[in-house]
Amino acid sequence: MARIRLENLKKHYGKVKAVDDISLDIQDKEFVIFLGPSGCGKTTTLRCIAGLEAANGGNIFFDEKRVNDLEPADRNIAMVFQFYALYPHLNAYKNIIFPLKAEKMSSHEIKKKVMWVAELLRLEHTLNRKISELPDGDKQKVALARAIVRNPEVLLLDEPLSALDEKFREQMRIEFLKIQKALSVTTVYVTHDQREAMTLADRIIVMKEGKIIEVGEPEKLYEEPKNLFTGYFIGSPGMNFIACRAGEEGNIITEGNATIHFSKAVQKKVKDISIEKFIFGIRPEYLYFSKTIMKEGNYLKVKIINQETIQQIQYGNFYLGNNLYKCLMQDSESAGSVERYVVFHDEKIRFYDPESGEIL
Amino acid sequence: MTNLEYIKYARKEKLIKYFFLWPALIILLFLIAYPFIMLIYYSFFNFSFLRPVNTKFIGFKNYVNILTDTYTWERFIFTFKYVALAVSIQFILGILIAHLLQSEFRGREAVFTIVLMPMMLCPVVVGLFWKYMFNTEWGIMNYFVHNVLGFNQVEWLGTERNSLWATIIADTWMWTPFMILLSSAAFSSIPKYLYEAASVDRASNFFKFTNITLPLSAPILILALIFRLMDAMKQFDLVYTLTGGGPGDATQTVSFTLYKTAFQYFYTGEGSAWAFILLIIIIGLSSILIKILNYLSERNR
Amino acid sequence: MVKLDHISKSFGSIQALKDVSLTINEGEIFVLLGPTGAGKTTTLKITAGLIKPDEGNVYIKDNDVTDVPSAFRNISFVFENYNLFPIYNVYKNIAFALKSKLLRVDDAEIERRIKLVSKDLHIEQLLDRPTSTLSGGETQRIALARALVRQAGLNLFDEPLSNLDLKLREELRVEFKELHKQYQSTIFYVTHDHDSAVSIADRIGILHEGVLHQIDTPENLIKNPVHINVASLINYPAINVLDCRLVGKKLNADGLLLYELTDAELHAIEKVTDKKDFQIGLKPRDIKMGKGKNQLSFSGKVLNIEYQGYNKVINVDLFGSNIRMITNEIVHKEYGDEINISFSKNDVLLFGRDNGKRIK
Repeated sequence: MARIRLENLKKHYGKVKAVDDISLDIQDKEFVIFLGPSGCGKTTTLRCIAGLEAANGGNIFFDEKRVNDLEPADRNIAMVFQFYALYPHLNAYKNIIFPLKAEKMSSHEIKKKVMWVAELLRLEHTLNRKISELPDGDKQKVALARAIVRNPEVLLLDEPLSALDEKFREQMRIEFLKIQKALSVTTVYVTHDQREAMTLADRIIVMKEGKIIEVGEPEKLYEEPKNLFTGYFIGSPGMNFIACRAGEEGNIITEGNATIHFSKAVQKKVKDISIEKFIFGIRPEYLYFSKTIMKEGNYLKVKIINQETIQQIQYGNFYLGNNLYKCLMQDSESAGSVERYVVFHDEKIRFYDPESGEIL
Repeated sequence: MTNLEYIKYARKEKLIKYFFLWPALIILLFLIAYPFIMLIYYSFFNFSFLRPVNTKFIGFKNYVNILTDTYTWERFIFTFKYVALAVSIQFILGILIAHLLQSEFRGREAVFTIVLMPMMLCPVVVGLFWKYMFNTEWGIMNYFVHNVLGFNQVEWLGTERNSLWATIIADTWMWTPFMILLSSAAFSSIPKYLYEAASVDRASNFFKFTNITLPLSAPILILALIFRLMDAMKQFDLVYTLTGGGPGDATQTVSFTLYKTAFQYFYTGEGSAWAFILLIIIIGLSSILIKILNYLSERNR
Repeated sequence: MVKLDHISKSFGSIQALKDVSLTINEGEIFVLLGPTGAGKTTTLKITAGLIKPDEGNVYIKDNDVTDVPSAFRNISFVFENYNLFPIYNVYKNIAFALKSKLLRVDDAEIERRIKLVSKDLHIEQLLDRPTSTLSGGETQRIALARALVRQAGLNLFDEPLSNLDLKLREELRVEFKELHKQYQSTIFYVTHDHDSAVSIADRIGILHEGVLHQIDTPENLIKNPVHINVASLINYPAINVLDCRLVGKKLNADGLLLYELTDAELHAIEKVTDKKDFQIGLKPRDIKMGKGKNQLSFSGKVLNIEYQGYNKVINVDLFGSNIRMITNEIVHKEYGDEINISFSKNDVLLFGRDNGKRIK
């Protein structure tokens, strides 16, 4: 059993608050990912959980046992670092058995464990090779093998894929999922790559400037982000955020003085918004470029200035005021310079408070 | 830039290059190349600087005389004993102290500076004041040994064995800082995350030291060893001022004997032969160590 | 504008570049794409004059500059690791190159150019800051400013975005393209990141282990790769590669029938080679769920589903190989479920197993 609970965790370096009052519950065998830009505090949080950094405030519990004062060695954790942290003067095999030797396990036991882990990660052929001769992907696999060979209760990973080429990253993502399921180990993973987070996590914890912005399952965070930052950071391309204010009849006026027309149901919601200036958010994939509109539906007049293909999907770019937004071009229609429309559904509309970033 | 301008500029560059080179070349020629060639030349003559008149070419006679003299071998054995003991102690002590100084503590920088000071002194100065410290009657060493610890007074520079150890102590005092400096540099270049990974893997401090620190710093440590060995083999200043080669000729290193031959007896030719023999030995020793160094560097890459 | 003619370069026993020739047109963005160690940085440095080639010539604007040092080639270079001078503040960093005696730019002109460039890159407020206080994105913008302010005929970039967060990278890519439109400069950009290459390049050159396989627009490279390495590098997610064997008229993978060739197709293959071992490449987006009309259909087991927001990548076990397909439909399958997949024969790319060359 390895539940992890963070209670008001705080860590600062001088005046800088790296981790600013974080509370979180991680279930046993769960795969959670801390996601955020550089400097948001995700790595610091991970290192506090590992015991490599001492927290300045708050508590860390493993299965309701307070571990703040325990050394990393006493927390029964394993860790995979960004730069592999492999011992360069040993070959792959010796690297993997390092933790076992440190625990003074019998050589018979050691051999059994290494064989099991090598089979799991398909490393049988690389065991005898020097670390410096291995391609980056294999190096990371060896680091992973070393971490799991001890059967830890908690597995911690600090941006393990950022140093790898795209090709290896794809392969390793599948390996991670496989390992995590096979071992049923509580896993805490840190990254700035939202694609990794979306593919691997049971739950994603979005962080910014030392605070938790939002926590949720990948699909939930993608479809229904409760915070502006979540919608911005997750998904490629990011959500469209259009600054606007209420117009007549429950429609809204955007920057550049364009009017977005809403269906009756949405108009009611708009009338309930109490603040003057707010943000209209919708994902580009849910803005459909169309030649025609339904009078009672949601629509906006746009002029597509160019098209872009991102991740095999065709998007069109249009301006509202000084800002560029994206919409979905189905069947790669040619945009022309004529004004057309983008239409969208009620459920995909989200309004945010520009100050707090929270949903309205 | 057009091609024409480039050609003018390139020509100017070439001239500047040569202008900077020739002072260094002249120094190399006169201060290194010439003396060295003359050294080898004179070693084949019974040349004496004081009486240059009867100089005769004697071929390898100087070398044969030196190498067949049992006195020579006694001196070599003493020098090897001294070098082996002194350098080993400095090596181990240096590594241990450097390891202790690795951790951050208040006043670390000050301690570091103090620890490095002995190295900055002249060997002659070091020899002189250790000679006073080792004085049997009123030296401070015997003060501690006799008055504080209650042992008999030690005749530091009086007996053969004692004077060997006295020299080793003085030499270690002066040169351990060198080992500390290089070891510290080697230790700090090891990436911290290797230790973190080892911590997570539950390695004890001893395990970390022997399995991470030592293997990864081995190339620089061996380099330091090479420096110290080469230097210790040539030991003269310290012996000259501390013991004067005594008692008798008990602490005469090979270098000291060379000095006597060339500047007391003025057998310049024979002295040159001595110098050359010493050179060959040092080259031999260093080559072996450099091979080890290369092997270790390769393994660590 | 730039021509590399039969360039070869070795470092000791390793041959970094093997007979590389390419041409870059004036005003275009040319990207060299390849995995780490392919030789991209070497190619860039040879173009800059920082490395001398063993064989071959470099031409800039029809002048043979192979022996001309970098300072005289009228180029700017942005390094992977920013290389800002820590002792100067931002303004002095950007002005550095302009103050050199070689360029002879007077102070008034320097100030004018810096003002212009910092406005375009949104760094006006950073001009008097010391370099130690800057974030990753800011540092990169300044490195960019330093290159642009030179108004060099040729601008070289060595993976300038690789050290940045994913989101930042996506944003800077767009800015990069906008800047190029404005400055109309010739750009030679080198990267291992597929997304960066495809989104900014006019033309891409695929470099793999020192061999330049193909140069073309991104669309053409995807449609018509001439070598399996081109197909693997230009497609994201990675293209599926299956080993197969020609038995009579049947193309078999792992003993099971893939499809039968028509006489015309068989003839076309035999014209090029008499070998029977091949590899086929299949793009994930060309595979659809379910049985399609006029399509080859197969049944496999679901290994896992990667959720990437709008797109989902399904890993299917087919003939013992892991086939990836991409779809944006809603998928209701789980690990172990049977799934039907289909693709068109026309979407299959055939490559020789021995040399990797494409067979039409």
